Amino acid sequence: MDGDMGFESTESKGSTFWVEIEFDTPVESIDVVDGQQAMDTPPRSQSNKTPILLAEDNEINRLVAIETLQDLGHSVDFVVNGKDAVVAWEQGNYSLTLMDIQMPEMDGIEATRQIREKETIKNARAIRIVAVTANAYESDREDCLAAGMDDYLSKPFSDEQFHTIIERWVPQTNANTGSVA
Amino acid sequence: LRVLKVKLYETGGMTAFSTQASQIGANYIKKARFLKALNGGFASKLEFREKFGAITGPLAERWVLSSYIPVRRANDEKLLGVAEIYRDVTTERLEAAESRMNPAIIIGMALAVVFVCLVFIVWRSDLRLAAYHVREIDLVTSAADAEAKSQAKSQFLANMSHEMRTPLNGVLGMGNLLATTGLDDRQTRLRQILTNLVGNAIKFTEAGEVVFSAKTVEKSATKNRIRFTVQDIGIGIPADQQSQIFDSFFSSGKFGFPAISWCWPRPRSNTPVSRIDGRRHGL
Repeated sequence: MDGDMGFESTESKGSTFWVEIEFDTPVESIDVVDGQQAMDTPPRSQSNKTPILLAEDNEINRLVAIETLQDLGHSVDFVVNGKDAVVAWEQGNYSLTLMDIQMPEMDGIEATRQIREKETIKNARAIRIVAVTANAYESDREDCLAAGMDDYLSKPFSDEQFHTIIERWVPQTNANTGSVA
Repeated sequence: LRVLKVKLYETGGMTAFSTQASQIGANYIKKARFLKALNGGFASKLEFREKFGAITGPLAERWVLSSYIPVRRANDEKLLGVAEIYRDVTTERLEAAESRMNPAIIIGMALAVVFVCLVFIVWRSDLRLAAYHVREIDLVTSAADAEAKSQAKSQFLANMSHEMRTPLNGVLGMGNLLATTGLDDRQTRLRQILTNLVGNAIKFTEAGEVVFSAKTVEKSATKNRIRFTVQDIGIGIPADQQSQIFDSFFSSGKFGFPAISWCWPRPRSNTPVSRIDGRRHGL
């Protein structure tokens, strides 16, 4: 845990200053557990809410979404493609699905279509699905809604926008079965 | 034409002469063709004869053309009588029979010509039509091309938009996350140093650029060494003053920092779904 500083400079040409810091490599502090195991056991944290399902293939955006959702007190099950989102939906129970659109193996549109189709066949309660996507055209929004999604949030989003969406679909006062805010 | 027989009649119809002697004396006054000739006209008859008594003797199976011709006196055109001349037209008749096929041939040929013309016209029309279709296809193709290009452009822009928005979301999101956590003393220090370095770089660079960057220079299981760099193209520092700057700036020499406790949420290989419990993270 230490650091160094230094600089190089040439008169009339410019300067380069640098600072080097040594950080401890983080331990695996994020509690990633096997989804099936997680579904079989109640959440260990103070949160006993139904988890949110996050389908996002981009690691950084996954991190941002998970950190933010955790800060809001939500448990998160995450998958990295649409195919696994359908699997997760079949196995688990979620208050909300945040669905990226462009993902490998199966995109969010197709995953939503399949989930909606299975819901119809099983006569199951419709899970809330919100598109969180960098496809930001109006037609993209229409495509998402046409595929059966409930809402749409385009990237990049602000903290407020994200909070608004989460609060709209998973109100803190009635997080498990709350109706549309 | 071969003359087979010649007869001469008086105006009263009496046969005055015939190359077939047995016919001399016979009266033809009631014969329509004789009368026609007697009135100054011509009359002919074509008939097929099984047998015919010709000048040269009996003939069999001949086509014979007989013609009644008025005979006039040379000086005053006075009708003296009627002559009848028999001619053998068998050869002509056969030729004529043959030539009767000609109309068929001609019609056939005409039809053939018409057919060829039609074929030609159809062929030309086909060519024209083909050319038209080619133009049409060209038009359709170029329209499709334009459409495809337009779509490709739209797709490109959409992809560009997507490819820019995705990392931007990460950058802004990380920024938001960082903004939500407080800084401890050492971090406040680090921030002060970097702020000063960037501030000075901007201050001493009248035109050009100031680059601030950060990268991991060493990575191990326990340590991550990150180098923050501030680079300017300003006035620089004279060599004789550099040691002085170093002393004032780097008096403490060493820093220590705790880890930022984020970990990448990576999926386990054996399961599609991974869970993270809701609880507060941070420093």
